[in-house]
Amino acid sequence: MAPQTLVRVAKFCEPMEAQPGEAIVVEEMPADGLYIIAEGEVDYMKSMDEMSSLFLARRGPGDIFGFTSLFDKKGHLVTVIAVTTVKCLRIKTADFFKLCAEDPDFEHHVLEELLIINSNYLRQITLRLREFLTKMLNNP
Amino acid sequence: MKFELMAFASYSVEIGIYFAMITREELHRNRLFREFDDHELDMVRLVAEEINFEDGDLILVEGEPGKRLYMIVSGRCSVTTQISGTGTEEIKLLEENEFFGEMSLIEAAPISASVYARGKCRLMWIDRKAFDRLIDQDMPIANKLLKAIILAFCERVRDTMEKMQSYYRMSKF
Repeated sequence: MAPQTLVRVAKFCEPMEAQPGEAIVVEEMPADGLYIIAEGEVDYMKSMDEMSSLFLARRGPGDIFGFTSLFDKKGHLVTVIAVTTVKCLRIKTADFFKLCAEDPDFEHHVLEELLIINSNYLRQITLRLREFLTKMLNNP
Repeated sequence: MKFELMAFASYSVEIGIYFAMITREELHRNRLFREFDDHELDMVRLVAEEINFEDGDLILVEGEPGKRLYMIVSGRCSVTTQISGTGTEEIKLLEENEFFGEMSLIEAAPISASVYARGKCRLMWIDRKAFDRLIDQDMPIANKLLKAIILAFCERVRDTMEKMQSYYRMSKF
């Protein structure tokens, strides 16, 4: 990304900090922005029913979350919980789309990055689904 | 090189040469190209190929390297996966105007699930080179295409998670 683009983007980044065990985004809550992890680790948790949640993935510095709900305008898909003290940057939804509209270069870079992240995510989730199916069909 | 294809595409469109039999309308109906204007659709028509399959034909093989992005013009395709101990299970049924094969093009990874024709299918495909050119050469085309794929991914991730929830609940009974 061009240095001047990064400078513009930085102006829209809001620093946030979360303590271990704290939920940074909560499943089904409306999208509030795109999150970039600067320091620390987070867990993606998906509720399976009223009583239990499934661990999906652990993510760290440089990873991005919050994008699914940002794009499809539905609630957050998973709950993201801080495992360690986490420092992250948030670009609010409105600011994100403003940046995309004003700067096609920014939009292109972000879309390319999100495409790879999403594809990788979908592959992992599909593997988990296969594990579920294997367990269920082999232990009826 | 960057502008060669663009210039050739524009010229070909101008003089009415198309390499694919797919119409603009058919392309536009596909969820990948709904935001495309006529010129952009013509750019895709130049690189898209058409292919037909019969019921039960294997289109993509799980574990093999991915080479093409497929779009369903008519018919349906079944996405299946191999479950150890039980055999093949259908994990998704893709309808007209949907697409598949993009994950292995994007990640240069093996195909994650096999795809079969369910009944007669008419598909179009774009190979890796053409896909990369579309992404690299024209930013408006690239951004529209990337957004459409990301939105479809979001839907598939939600869909897969819903399935996991329902399997989980079923396994508890």
